[in-house]
Amino acid sequence: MDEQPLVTETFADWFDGESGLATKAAIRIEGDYLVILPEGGTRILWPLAEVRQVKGLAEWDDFILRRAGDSPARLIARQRQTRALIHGATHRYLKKREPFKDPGRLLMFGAGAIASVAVIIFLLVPLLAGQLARMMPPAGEKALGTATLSQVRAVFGGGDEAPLQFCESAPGRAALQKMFARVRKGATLPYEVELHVLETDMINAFALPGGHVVIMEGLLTAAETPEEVAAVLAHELGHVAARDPTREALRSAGSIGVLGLLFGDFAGGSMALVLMNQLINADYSQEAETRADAFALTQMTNNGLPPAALATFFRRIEEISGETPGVLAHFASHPEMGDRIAAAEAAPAPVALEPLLSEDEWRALQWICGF
Amino acid sequence: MQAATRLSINSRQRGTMHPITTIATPTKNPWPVAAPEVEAEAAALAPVLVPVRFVGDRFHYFWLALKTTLWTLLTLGIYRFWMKTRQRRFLWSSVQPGGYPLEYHGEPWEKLLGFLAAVCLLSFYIGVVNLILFFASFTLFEGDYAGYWLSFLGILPLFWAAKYRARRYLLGRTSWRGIRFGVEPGAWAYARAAVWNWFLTILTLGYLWPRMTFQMEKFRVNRTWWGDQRFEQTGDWRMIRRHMRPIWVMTVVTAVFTWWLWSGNAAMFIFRHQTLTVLMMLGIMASWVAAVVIYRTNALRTMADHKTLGAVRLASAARPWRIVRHYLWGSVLLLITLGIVVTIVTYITIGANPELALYLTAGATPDLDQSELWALVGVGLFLYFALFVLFAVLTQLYITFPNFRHYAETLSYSDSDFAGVKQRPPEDIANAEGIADALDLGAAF
Repeated sequence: MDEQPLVTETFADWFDGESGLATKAAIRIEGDYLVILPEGGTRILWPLAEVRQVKGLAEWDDFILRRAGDSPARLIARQRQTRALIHGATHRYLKKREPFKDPGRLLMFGAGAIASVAVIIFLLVPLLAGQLARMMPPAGEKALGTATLSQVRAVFGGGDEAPLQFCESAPGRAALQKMFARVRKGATLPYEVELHVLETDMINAFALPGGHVVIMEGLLTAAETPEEVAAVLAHELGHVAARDPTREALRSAGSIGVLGLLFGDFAGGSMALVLMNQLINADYSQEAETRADAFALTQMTNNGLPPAALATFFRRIEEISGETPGVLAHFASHPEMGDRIAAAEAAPAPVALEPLLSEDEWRALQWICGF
Repeated sequence: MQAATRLSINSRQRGTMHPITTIATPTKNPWPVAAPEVEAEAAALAPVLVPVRFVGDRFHYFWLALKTTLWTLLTLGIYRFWMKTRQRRFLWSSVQPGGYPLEYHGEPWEKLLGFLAAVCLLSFYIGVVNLILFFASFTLFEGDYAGYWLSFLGILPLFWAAKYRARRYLLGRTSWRGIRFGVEPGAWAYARAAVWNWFLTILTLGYLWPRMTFQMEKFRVNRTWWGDQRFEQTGDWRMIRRHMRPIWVMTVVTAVFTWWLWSGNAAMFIFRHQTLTVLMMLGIMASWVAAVVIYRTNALRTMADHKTLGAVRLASAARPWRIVRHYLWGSVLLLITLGIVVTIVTYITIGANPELALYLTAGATPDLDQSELWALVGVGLFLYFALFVLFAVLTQLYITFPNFRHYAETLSYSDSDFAGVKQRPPEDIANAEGIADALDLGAAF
């Protein structure tokens, strides 16, 4: 249908998608069609509504056209007139995006990915971690604990400073052992417990795999009575009894890998990874912490020590560091202080209270790190 | 003039309502020869090589990288499939052999799909197997190294298979002059070959490293097609053996240096010139990087000179020192830029809150209220992200892009009208890059 008057005869490079040959083609717009007339070939008709521009090109002047769909044929229009002609007729359609062909499949795989990751992290890995924690031979657990202990000393020692030192003063250690013997009476512990005191201002105490219990010097200084320290010690023994540290280490080994898989290599990834692991950690640990609290309260009561000492200590900690607001509590591995204090105060007091340490022994313990 | 009539077998091609019948256009014949046979002979004897044109602008690429990296951060990484696709479209279309650009037509949704499929597959392996190995290594060996090593070794063949598949996807979604590239399947054969070659290389203490380079390249190349034309890596591994010289030199230098350090002769020197010793060690490390880069560039160039694509010859003029300079200056500029940014942000932060300076230098705990604490956390996060974005983008700008451009610009090929090259059918490789994406094995682009 060559009845319509031609604006101008313009040319473009035509690749028919059948061979690698480049042919010069005359371009016309006729009605609703883009007419491509390759030199010495038969004409091609592309409906205007199906003309698409190849996007993302480095050379912005390049105007490469294709037909909507999978056709590999290409039209490269480098002449300004050709560009203007084609653009004028097709600009409404050029940038149209093809709808994604398989949204069903995408959703299925998306759901599958989320499901498999969730099952792995929240079900399979903790289950396996629990089983394996029980199965791990003491020698292996000791090794894990020793390795973690060196890491802890190095990390908390910080940068240029040497790793944290152990506090070994003899009278202090003797007082500590006496406290330990009292607190642990009546409890079944899976292995020998090793107590360590680290020389640092931080107020903290934790249990590591293999029966290592670490108390920071700052905690000894912050406590006002030996009963408070005993309560914390009992709490950590609760973790040891439940094998929490080993289970948690195994769980982390499994989860971190999977999380790393999801988030890839970008920075948000590493940050999100840490946050996610904290979150998982926290939920998991809050359960463990509540259990350890309950263990501590029972041990205190059964051995003639006031369980409320735990509450007193928590109150003091709260004063010192400020209550973590709701959101952060989710990330902190300890349940909100308020709940713990209430639980400690609600515990039944023992029938008969016996003093734990003499004045001298308590002072020796607080000065276990010397000057 | 050649006349050819072809009937389109692929009449499924939409857009044409008639079978295609074309008469081949005579090409601009660079040699003043008339008869086809003599023309072919002349071509074989003295191919005229046409350089590949590279048109991409570094500035525009920088903006693209910046925008897409920011979006990727904001979407917690989901946008990275779009980012990679856009970067590839830009880079591919910058390369214009004979004035016609390469085209990348991968789709981000495809990549996302492949990635999700891979996550389903790999999360089991990484979660459960890792855990078991961790447990086993402490149980059996009372240490965690065995676990990590076993896990790493176990996943290594998967790495190679994934890389091969990723290359298959990349090339399967590339076309030139409308004709698709393609790579034959063979990911596991590739992994096997890689394991075997690495084994040989380690066994011979690195002597057979050039052989590994050549064999792996040959494996990849001989399975790569453009239309109905197959690429071929001709030649022999011995032709790149001489490129190992910088590496042998560095081995000797390192050995001497190590002996000097360990033998006690150096004790006095090290004590007096600590900085100098550190600089020497840094210099040796940098030289190692340079030596390996030089080897690789030279090897790639030699191998390129021996690649053929049907009747097409290739030739490369890539210069190794150019690549080394890109890495060197790239790293220096990167460090300087990052340093400037960190300094500025730290200055602003401490200016706002001078107590911080005390905390940072003397370790005294600052007396901050909640809002100040949150502000501090905010600044810290911002700095962290900003640094990462800068690092990613500047690496693309100073290292990836210049290297890519150099290799493209220095490539030449023997031009023809390519009328005889026929289209190849599209391959089903939609998910092929998934595992590489999941394991983060992709190339820089």
